[in-house]
Amino acid sequence: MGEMKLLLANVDKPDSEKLETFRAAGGYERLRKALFEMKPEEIVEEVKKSGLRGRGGAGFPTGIKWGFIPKTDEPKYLVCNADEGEPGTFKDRVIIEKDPHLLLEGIAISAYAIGAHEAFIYIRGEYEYGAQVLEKAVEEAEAAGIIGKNALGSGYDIKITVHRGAGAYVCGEETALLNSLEGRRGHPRIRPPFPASKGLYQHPTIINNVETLASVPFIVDKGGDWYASLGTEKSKGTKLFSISGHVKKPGVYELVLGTPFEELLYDIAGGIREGHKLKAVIPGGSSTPMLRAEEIAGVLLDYESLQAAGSMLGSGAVIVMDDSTCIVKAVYRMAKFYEHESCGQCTPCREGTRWIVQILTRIMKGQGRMEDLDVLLDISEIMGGNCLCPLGDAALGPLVSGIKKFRDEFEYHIKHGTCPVGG
Amino acid sequence: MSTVKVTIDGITVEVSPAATVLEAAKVAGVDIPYFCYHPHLKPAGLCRMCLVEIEGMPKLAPACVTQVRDGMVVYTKSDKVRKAQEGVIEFQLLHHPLDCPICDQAGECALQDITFRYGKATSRFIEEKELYPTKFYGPLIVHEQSRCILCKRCVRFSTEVMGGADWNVYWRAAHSIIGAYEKDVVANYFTANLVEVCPVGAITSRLYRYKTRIWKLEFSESVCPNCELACSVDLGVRENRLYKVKHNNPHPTPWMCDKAYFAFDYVNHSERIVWTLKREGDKMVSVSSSDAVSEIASRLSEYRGKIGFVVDASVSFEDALKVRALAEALECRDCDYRVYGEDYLPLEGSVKSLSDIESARAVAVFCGDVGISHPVLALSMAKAKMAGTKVAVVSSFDTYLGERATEYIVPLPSKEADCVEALLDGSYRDDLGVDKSEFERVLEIVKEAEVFVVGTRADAYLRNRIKGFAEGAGKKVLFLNTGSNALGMCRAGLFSEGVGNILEKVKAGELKALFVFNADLFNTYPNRELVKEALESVEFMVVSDVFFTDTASYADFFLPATTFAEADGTVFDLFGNERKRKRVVVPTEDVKDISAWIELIADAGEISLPDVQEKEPSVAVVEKKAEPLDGKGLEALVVFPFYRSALYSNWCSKFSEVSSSPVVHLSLEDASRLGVSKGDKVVVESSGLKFEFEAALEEFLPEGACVLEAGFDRFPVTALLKGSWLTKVEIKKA
Repeated sequence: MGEMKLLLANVDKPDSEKLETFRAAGGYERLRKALFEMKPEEIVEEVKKSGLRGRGGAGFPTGIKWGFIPKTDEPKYLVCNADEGEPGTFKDRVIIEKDPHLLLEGIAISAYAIGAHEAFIYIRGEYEYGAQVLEKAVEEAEAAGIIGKNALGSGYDIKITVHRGAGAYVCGEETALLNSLEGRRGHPRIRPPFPASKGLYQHPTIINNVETLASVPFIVDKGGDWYASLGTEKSKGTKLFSISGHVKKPGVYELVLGTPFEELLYDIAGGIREGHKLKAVIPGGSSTPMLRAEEIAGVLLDYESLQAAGSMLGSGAVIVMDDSTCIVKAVYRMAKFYEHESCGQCTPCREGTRWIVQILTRIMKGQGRMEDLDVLLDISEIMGGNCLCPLGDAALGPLVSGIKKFRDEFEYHIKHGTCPVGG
Repeated sequence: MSTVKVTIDGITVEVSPAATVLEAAKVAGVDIPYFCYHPHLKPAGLCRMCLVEIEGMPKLAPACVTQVRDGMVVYTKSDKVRKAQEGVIEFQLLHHPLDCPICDQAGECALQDITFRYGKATSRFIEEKELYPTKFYGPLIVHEQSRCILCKRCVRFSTEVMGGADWNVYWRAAHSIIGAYEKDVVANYFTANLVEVCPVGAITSRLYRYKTRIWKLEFSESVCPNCELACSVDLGVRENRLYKVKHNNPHPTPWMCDKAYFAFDYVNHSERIVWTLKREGDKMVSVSSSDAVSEIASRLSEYRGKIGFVVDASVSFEDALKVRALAEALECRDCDYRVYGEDYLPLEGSVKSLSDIESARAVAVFCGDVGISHPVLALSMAKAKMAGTKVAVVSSFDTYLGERATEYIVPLPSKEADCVEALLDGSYRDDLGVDKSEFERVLEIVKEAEVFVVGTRADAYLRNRIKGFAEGAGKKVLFLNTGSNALGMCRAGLFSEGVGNILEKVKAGELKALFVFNADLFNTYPNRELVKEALESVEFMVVSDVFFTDTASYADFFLPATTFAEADGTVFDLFGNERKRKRVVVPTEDVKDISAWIELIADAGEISLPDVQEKEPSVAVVEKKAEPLDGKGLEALVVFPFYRSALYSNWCSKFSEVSSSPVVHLSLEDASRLGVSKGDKVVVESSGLKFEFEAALEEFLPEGACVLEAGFDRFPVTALLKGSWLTKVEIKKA
């Protein structure tokens, strides 16, 4: 347990984004192995064995997802979801900007594994530099014959295209991403059909997160069993954690899953600012329920342990709040985010997020009423599970946990019209 | 086909495995409320009003997009469902203005109905409502974003059925608004459907705005009189006034065009002549109808054998038979309905329904602007194209289907028929003036086509040629005619050698008297000079019409006529099916239908009307017409724009306002040579006559061709014509 650098092995090297740096460290040899020594189904099998789960937030087993691709002759697509937009999450950016070839290698192997000849990297509009780095890397790799037509001389074609989004959070939802990629409005689609049967241009499509795809070369290199030996029973391998907020050393750290939360917080990230105490953490990106300081004691950073603690591992974006934080304001800020980013298609999400913001705005202004808290919880009950895509549920994470765990702070705001911590 | 069993609220039904839970509930007679679902649009699952509980599923599921499974057990009234339903309604009403007392949708509003049935009576919302300004999208529709529930039905109609993208959602989240991005005027031939699919009062008709209440209207099903599609319409009447047209019976398609929806208010127009008029010198004076008919009857006996009868093709079959009976009783043979100067009669081409076209692999459309002449047919072809049917359009001017077709070639008007013939011959010719590769691509579709659709511009020669070719090649053909009841007119035997021939005979003195029913020849016949000379030389003329037209001003007697809403009658649609018009408004004062007038005249003159038999048209072999186009300048095709092409358009206030002034469509090349840009005034000149038009620039028009719009009041463009709708004109900037 603790820190282990697989994904971050190269990022601190000078010129880490260059092809020669990557190759010097054995880069693209895993792709060569995959293309020349392995059948696609063997790769899928290894990934299944590895226990790798989607690193974008939902944590769906990657190998099983790949297994949904039908064995037909129609075109198939691989899409890399680089629309990293969840507040607090900035882990994919490190790979994109510092080790783009690792991502390309992972994409190329995965495309081969699912039988796709075309892969797209859908990168969020705000990552302008990242998009430039990726475009350059694709150019380099193509010029070197690594990807493109007849990749590494294997006879297999893998075309990778970088596509920039236009800045909508909802396009990180995979079906909205596909719509946006097709040139449509970034609105989530109704499922079923699932992308694995009818995705991009109505063809079978696999959408994986950057970190997920970047983990694939290590599984091909050392085997699924080796990868599965890392971590806990249900959480295998290493995971990037982007820790932000009131810690001394915020940043992106790679940990073996199952590392104690307190180790990340106090040892690796250097602990809370001097003179302050921990108040709450949001462990997996703004959509995951927040935990009170005392709730993280003994909690491990893995899927099952955080779930047992009442939250989620999510994207591994840890937001740390010390005692200077006004929880009402924090909840309000996150509610504003979701109200702004709702796509507006379905009634509960569109109307619910706006209403939540309207009520919280009033509470922030000191015009709250005690019954507002129950209305807020009731709104979240109506929204919860009833929306077209997961965004509506995501919006409820901080709100519901905030009210349930810090109700006294909300009540203070309502009673006194001011903030107990001066936030 | 196998079925599956589904139990909904304890009622077990057997449905197709492809059915959705919502469809199954309809079979079971269980009401599931919905906003965004529409039976003729793809389900979208947006409004979340139709959430139901399904055994074995942890979350509620939207019934409109959830497919049934065998043995599925569904609950629509459980506590969990009730809570979600109440929640969705509460959400929908948060920012809704609740302005039902001034909303035209009240009474047929889904939000109102569902709130009453499924909602709570109270709201917990105390914040300020977010309201938006009202937006008028031109004369036809008005959009109130504040009332919109963002079900996207209108957007889905636009994108799925019409194939456009401009009418869409803009901005995002709770601040999403629906509207047109590029256009200030939304009038796209099918605007009516935006109003009709809207479940609330967000998109309403300006024609109907603040006029009456829906529950005050009594609706009766009838048939639209504007084209041969004979779409089913429901006419809403209050106190003997026609206020609204709806389209509840989805026949022949679920959609309607703007002619049906917006071009009916002439029925109530204050300029309608409802009294019988008689000429006294320069004046028309009101007389009693009994005096008029006896005078007419006595004058007719003078002209036995020398009377011409001209009838518009929109009158009913019964009326047409009656006109022929009168003609026969008076030993006259010169009766005709082809007031637009057509030289052809309806031809049977074995297309029996729209599904023959929709299910075809490929369709070729020749010589016409189907979007204007038969709008709903064009819409269903555009929709078929989106579903995979290849559609090729060969037309010198097309305003709707062309840009939506797989291939579209635009020959010069004088080469249009030649181009079609070359396609039938399967060989390209240089003199056609069209691009060879485009021609080849169209040819591929023509070869593959299972159906040819022949537009109203194709003449008799070309029609026979196409018919012969299609029969040989095993293809079906659909021949389109102008007017809504050309098939009925033809069956009633109301044709001789064309309206032009009758006018020539009048001019030559071979015919001394003339009956004109419901037609303003100055507007419709493409030779104003001939019409004028004929009507000036006729000795006795009776005009029966709804309004006092230019033609009526030459009449000795004017008999006020009924509109489609005031008389029962039969018409035949383009597939030959019988369709019934219904009398929903009682005619006032002297207004009578043609049959009634003729019977009165016959009674007064003791003329016995024979029982006339239906007549089979004899399809004569027609020689190809070789009329060289004389004159200098550009080839000019004269057309009626959509919003001037409905019956009595000039008396349809909102409808005609869309086409407010006559436009000349120019090619980019000609426009730049003439130094004309969009919206400029230009003078169109031919044989000493000058008309001022507004210029529109069309990318698709070939150099050397222009298109002039007709159909405007006090703007007699037909004066430029000499029997054909094609002429030559010189154009300069005004």
